[in-house]
Amino acid sequence: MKIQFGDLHLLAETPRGQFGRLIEFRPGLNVIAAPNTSGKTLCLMAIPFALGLEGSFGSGTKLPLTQAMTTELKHGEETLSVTGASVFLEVKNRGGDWRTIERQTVGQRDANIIRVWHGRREEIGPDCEFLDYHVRLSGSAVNERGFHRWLAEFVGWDQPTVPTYDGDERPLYLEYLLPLWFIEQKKGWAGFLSQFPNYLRLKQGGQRAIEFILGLKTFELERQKAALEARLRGEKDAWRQTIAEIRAQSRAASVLVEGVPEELPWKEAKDEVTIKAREDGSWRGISEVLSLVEERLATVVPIPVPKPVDDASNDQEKELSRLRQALAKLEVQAQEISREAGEETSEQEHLQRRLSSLETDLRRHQDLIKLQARGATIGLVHEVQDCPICHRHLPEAIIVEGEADSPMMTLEENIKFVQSQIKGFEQMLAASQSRNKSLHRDSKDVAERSTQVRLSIRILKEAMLQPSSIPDATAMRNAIELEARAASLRRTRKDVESLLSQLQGINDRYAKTVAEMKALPAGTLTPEDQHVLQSMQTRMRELLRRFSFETADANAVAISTETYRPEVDGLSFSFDLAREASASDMIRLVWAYLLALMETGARAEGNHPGVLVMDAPQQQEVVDEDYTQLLREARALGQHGGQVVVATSQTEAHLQAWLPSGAGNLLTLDGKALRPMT
Amino acid sequence: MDVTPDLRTNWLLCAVCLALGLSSWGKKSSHPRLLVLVWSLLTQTTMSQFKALLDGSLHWARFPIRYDPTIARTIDIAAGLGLVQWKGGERIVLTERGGALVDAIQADGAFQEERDFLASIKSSFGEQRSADLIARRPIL
Repeated sequence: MKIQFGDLHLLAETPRGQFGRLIEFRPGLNVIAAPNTSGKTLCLMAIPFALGLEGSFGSGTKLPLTQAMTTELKHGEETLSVTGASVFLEVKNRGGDWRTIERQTVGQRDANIIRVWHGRREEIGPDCEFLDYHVRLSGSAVNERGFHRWLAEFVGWDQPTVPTYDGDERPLYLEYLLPLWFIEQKKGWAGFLSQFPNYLRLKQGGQRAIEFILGLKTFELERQKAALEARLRGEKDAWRQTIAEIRAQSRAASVLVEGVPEELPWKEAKDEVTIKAREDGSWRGISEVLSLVEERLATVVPIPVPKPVDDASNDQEKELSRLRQALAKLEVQAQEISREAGEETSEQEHLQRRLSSLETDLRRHQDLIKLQARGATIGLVHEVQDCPICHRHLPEAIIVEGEADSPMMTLEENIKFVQSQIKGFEQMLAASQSRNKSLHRDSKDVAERSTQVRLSIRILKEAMLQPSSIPDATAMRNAIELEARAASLRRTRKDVESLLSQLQGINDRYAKTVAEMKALPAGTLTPEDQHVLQSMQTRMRELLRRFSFETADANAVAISTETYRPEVDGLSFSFDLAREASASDMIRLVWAYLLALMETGARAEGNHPGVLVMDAPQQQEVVDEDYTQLLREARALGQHGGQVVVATSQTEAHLQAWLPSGAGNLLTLDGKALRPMT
Repeated sequence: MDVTPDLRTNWLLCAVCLALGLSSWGKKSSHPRLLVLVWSLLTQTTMSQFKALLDGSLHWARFPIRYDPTIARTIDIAAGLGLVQWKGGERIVLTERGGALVDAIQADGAFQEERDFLASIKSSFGEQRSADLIARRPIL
């Protein structure tokens, strides 16, 4: 048993006082007996409502409770409006901790807020701790303050993530588990487990839910497979990216790369890959072409090196040195000016951004002043003094308590303050712009002086050089071109080889992952899982016999190892045999399946909550003998720690005749479910 | 202490009402979408980035939406003041009173930049796009 319900309390406030119903669930079998239309379903539906699980019944936003708990209730001939209504449900977990879950349908709190009280209902009071959680909102299953995350932790469920039809992964929502332990009256018996909330778009969510409830290891297997598949997809993506990079490199350098497949796996050896470059009209290996270019480069006529004239005077040398030093100084100066100008520009951008922000603030404050003038007629400004929700004093600004160390400025004060800041920043901006102009002038000056010095250096150097030492321009151009080609080929070869090494790494990882995939057990079920399903199947067959199932020989009814649903000769009761089986036998099948699921799933490794709720299970005129048998089996299940809740319109006298004294907790509703509270 | 207008309750209340009144079909919106809309109004930078995001010139990853609790609290206060109302637990709708506030803002010529911004994005920022953005999926 993972959970157990204690008191369920429905409470509605009306102008005629409180109406309500207290139902005290106990461990074992609980039978709620009442005539039709007296509110049994309302009481049972309060359970999924309290647990925020109504999403299991459909995507609509309508609350699953009747009008009596949402808008108005009938009291005799009178119709009373409901001004407040709440459901309280006590839940105990395996560790023996009690929590009382409170959810309002009408009241101050939104129905998307669930309050969890620390303790039992009778302990609720001013000193009782509680926490509010959100439900039926995005993130309710995963966020820290999401109710379903809390509930899963409280119950001890560690749900796996499962893929969605959108390609994402989501936790196995608790809404998928509900149809396996709560059968509602209207749709719950209409087909075999036809109630899974498929609109939540989990891929094979129902199947995953049954696996989870039974604690099948296949879950782990599926997770491993999914992880490996994701790795394979990742490697394939990396491969394509690297191929694209090689293609771009080779196009830019006019080379060909041959022997690399477009897609993984790469079966040929890396040595088979060739990088080719074009030479003399044909494609040759890049190394061969590089050798040719280097040979040619070596044969180019050496460029004559100019020599200083023999009689160059020391004075000229000294002058050249002086000019070079002067040029170096000017260059340093230019860099300094450039740096300063950059800083000023950056400062101006910063100031302009700040000014723009301040101007927006000023305009917004002025907007508020305009509105303040209308405040009295709109009723906005003057009313926001106390929080309409908690009635604490609301400061003029929403600031975390403690941040406002000093009193906050009023709108008028703030406008003056912003205006003074704007003035200050505008002055700073003007000063910075003026400084930039001055730097610009300096920069121009330094540039002109540098040009002059460079010219002087060139003239001086020319005077110091021999006129015959001018190099051969054609030879020089050839040498430069060949050197550039050789450098390009070397660089391309290095880059492509590096990318090929990356491909090799990707291929190795891909092969390793494929091997890991192959090492996983074939099929989806481990031997342990098969044993679990076998146990459940044996128990289900036994129950089918006891419930006088006749559509097929009970021994022929098997649990599919693919869908985990009952089938005969591979034909499913959910689809193929839905019309073949008699309506009453479908009901018997659901009973047998759910009881067997609970018994099998409630073992230590399983995740069944240990609770089974069935609203009016005596459908389709199932004979009393079989129904009695159901109650006996449910009672036996209860004796092993489970809790079964059944709602029925059978009379108390009938039930007492069927169940031995003390065999279950018989809860008889006298009159309507909601009655005046004394 | 200096307080920026986007932290002032009244300014935020106006922003919430304007977002519903001018940029939401049927003057109603989901809670997450409203949070995103009001968040985008907070500064000129968020407004221009959000516009760029919607017209495709800014990648969604460059515009991370942060959950701002002051906005959520303002929505609660607006509901408490009767300016907005929860519908069916999932949608927030502008009430008649909230509509009167929007009319007053427009009559006063206030919030011009914010109003222009909201009107310009109305057709391109629906519930689906909001959900996609919050789920950090590419929306183009």
